[in-house]
Amino acid sequence: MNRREFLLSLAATPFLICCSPEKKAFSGQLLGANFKAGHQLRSGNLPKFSQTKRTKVAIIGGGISGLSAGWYLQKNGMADYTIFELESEIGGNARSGQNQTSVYPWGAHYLPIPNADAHLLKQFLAECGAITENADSAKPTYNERYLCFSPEERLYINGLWQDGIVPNNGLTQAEKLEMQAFEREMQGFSLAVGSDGKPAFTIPLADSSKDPQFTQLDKISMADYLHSQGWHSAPVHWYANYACRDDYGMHHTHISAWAGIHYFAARRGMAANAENGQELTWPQGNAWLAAQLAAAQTQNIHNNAMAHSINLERHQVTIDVLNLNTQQSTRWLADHVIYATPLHTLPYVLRNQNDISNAARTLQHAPWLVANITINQPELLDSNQALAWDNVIYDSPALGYVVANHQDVRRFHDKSVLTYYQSFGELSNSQARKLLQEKLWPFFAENIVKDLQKAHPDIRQQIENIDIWRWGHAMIYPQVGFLNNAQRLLLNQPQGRLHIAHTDAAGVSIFEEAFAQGTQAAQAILNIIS
Amino acid sequence: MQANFEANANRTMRQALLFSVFIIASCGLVYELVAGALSSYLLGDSVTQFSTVIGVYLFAMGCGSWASKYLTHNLVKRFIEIELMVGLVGGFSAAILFLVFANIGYNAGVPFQGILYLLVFIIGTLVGLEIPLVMRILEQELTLKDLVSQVLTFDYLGALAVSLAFPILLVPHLGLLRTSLVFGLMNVFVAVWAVWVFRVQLKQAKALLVQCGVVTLLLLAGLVFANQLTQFSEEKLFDDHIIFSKSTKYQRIILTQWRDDTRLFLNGNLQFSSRDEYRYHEALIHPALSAITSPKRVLVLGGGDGLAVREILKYPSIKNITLVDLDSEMTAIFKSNLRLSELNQHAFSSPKVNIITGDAFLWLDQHQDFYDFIVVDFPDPTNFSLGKLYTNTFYKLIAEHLSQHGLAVVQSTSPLYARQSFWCINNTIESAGLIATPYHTLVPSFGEWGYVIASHLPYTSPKYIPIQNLQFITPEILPSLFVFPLDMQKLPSEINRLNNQALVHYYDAEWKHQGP
Ligand SMILES: Cc1cc2nc3c(=O)[nH]c(=O)nc-3n(C[C@H](O)[C@H](O)[C@H](O)COP(=O)(O)OP(=O)(O)OC[C@H]3O[C@@H](n4cnc5c(N)ncnc54)[C@H](O)[C@@H]3O)c2cc1C
Repeated sequence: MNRREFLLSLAATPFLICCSPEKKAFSGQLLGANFKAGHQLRSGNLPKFSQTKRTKVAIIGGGISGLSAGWYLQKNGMADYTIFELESEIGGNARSGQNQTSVYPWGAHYLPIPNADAHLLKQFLAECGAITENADSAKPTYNERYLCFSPEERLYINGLWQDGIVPNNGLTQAEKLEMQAFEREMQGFSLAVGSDGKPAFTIPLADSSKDPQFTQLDKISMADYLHSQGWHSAPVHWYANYACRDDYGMHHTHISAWAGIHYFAARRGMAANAENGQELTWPQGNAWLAAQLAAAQTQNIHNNAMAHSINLERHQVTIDVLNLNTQQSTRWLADHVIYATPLHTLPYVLRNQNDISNAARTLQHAPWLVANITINQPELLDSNQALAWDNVIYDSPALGYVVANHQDVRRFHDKSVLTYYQSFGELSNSQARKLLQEKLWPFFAENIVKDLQKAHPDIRQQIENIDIWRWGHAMIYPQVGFLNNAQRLLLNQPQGRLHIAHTDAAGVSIFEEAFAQGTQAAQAILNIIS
Repeated sequence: MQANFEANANRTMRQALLFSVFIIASCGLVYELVAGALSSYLLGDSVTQFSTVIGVYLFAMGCGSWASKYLTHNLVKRFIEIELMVGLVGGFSAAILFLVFANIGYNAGVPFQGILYLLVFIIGTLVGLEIPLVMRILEQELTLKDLVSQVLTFDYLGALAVSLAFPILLVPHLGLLRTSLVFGLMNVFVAVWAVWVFRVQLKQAKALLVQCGVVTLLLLAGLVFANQLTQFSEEKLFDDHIIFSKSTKYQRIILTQWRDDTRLFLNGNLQFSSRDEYRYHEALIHPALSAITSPKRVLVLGGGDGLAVREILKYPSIKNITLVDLDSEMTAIFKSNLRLSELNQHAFSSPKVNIITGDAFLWLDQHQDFYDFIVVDFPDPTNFSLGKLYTNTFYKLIAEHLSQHGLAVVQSTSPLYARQSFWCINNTIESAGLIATPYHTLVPSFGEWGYVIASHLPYTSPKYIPIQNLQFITPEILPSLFVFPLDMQKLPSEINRLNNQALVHYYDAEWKHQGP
């Protein structure tokens, strides 16, 4: 154990703040992905395999991409596959936690109503009961327990909470006009169709039009795009920047304008019983979806199983998998492997495909921080607008908080869990990662409380516990030029027996892309096998 | 223009004038204390109230003494007039504040404070004028040094006397209202006395005396009616006598009693008045329950007052009643309190009744049983947490728990004052796959009130009601309840869903009413 590990393990033990007497004490823990395993992988200090097993398809990674791949194989009558997941639980970025008050997400927490042409996704949603009727139609009926309860969003701006997060309260007339112009423009993009007959922006993004009139937007940043339209006002920039920080974890000065617009213009999902584009959400966030994907394939999933060397051979693939509990490696012989884990690990795992490893090295990941905050007397957060599902503070470096138990039908809650999200757009990725590694729980907890106090001056008294999760390499973000980046496109090509299926390859990290990545890889394998 | 006085007369007069300074000072301080005490009594936070009142008062006095230099003629007459004004305004200040507050109420602190400070300012300015005037009237007799020190001595003596007397004697024995009136009379007394002393030099002494008389009469009348005035304004304030009040985890329960009328308020909203609750509850229960042949199992959601259960227990065929209410304190007082358990005829002590403390939505989610009759009696959808209990998702749960021939009834706010809301509830029930049969009746303390019967099979109103001793519902009037006059007729509406809370938005737009 080196010094850093020692500090980290120290940081992972529960703390109790008891600073000055007027500060109420609350407890909490600093958590994160399995650092030890990651370290072991990078150090290359791995035991040689002691047994050999066989599986037709090996899926590495039990996040949404890997689970979707397995789900699709299973569904199509192909049961001989194995999913290897490093962590003790499946889900990846869609993991969840639980305390006495509620289950809560540690990462992904919602899925917008899918577009009409997302047939496979709608089929899955119908299978797990999220769609109750007419899954095939353009306007399916969704399970109202899972549609985000009203009120959905509020924004704390200029000293008041307002309904919805499009800035409005306290804006000058000129700023309001600019906001409206921006929204109109995004609406226009949402309806736009390219010269190739495809929608200008859609999900998965690979299906979007290649018409240069839209794709050239990838050459500038979202911030520059706004300026090029003559929109310079703070609220418009805040709003677009918020979208980039919220979806991609990065400031709009770094995000491709094409991707920035994609956020606003790619979702046209309709429902018989909801507004267009309304969100589906669960107390445990997308861990609910992960569990549904996993439900019929639990037999195929191996947890605490880290794949550490992949060798692509002519007639087979070998994958060495370390059981993190027993520290024994097993060599798996497979026909195909689906690589469904973050690609920055690929160079450590893939033994004989340098070009792919090099492509993977070029990807940039944004770090994130997620905190689950247990509070009492949640009604005190109501203020001039009732507590919503998503609550955003305008003057905040963070992204606000989501109420984990918002989808609970009960009238009163003694306590609630607030899931607080922060990306670090203002720091470089390495600076932010350093911060996440070095700072201890009191530092993060105190910053979070201070941030929330901007809108809730007395919230400290209500807090009982703050657990904090650090995501060092949380997700890919679409930089300027990502769309036609040759390296990214290479990662999307099948490489013989290796199939990459991860949101890193998609370029943006959302559930729908993960689902498409997984199911498409599975389909490609089924095509080859038959 | 100053008259010449005999030396002797001069001395007595000087002493008398100085005594009047004593009285004036006392009065001035009394009004200030009355205003401070009253505003802290009514608004709370006495430190703030006192310090702001004193601040405004001192400032006003400054303004008054500054303004006094503009009074150059008829100083004595001016002095008398000012005394009368102080007597009148100061004397009635407490009464004015009481009445204003009673009429504006707790919700409007700002207008009340506006009037409070205006009053304090007027009195302060007038009192601020008094002392400089007295000094100038006395100017001829004394050197400035003596004058200032003597006047100020009496000024401070007066203040001391009052500040001691106010909490010890005045407030406990006279009350705020009478204290200020009595001191108003003292101002008038100083005025009358000044008229008499200066009668020679005063040109319109008679007219001034008449004014004194009028003010005296007014103040005396105030004293005579002080009791009624207090009672009137306190009644307005508290409406009725509070016999029970408790803040539970979920709500603030207040019970009031006025003569034979008991009223229940939850979070300030009237839930029932014992004078006409029979109308509300008979109309809630009997149209549906009497239409079910031999009902056995009943579920009541909400209704922690037991009044609906009282009506249900009148049917001998009923085997058990399950009541689910959020607030155990509510059901507890309606079980144990003498007056309240009398109101529900000890419904909660019946062996047929099973009281469950829990959230209705969650309870339906977690239980499977069927019921012949379900009563859904929640407070009006004033907020999102209540709005959930009026959604299609909730009514689908009701449908799942309702036996094939069973009926459910939903309290549905007023079809007159909240027409869109009422029909939204009706339409939402229909959207959940139930047949909705809306009806309404007049409950005087609420106004025109609405209900919806929900069922799997069409409802027909009974020709016969199997129980006696009802005060309101009879088979003859039943059909009329189902007729909606033009101004309450059906409106199209959105379906109230968990993901739109349409009803809360309608309701909000239509009224912030007090109702069940
Ligand atoms: C804080 C946060 C909030 C988000 N919110 C949303 C949201 O609300 N909605 C949304 O749509 N998206 C959201 N996302 C994006 C989210 O990343 C995607 O939706 C999706 O969950 C990505 O799935 P994936 O399978 O592609 O990748 P991952 O979730 O990264 O899955 C990879 C899996 O591989 C495992 N693994 C890694 N290395 C190995 C190894 N060597 N051997 C075996 N297993 C390994 C990991 O443990 C992990 O389980 C959020 C992301 C973050 C970080």
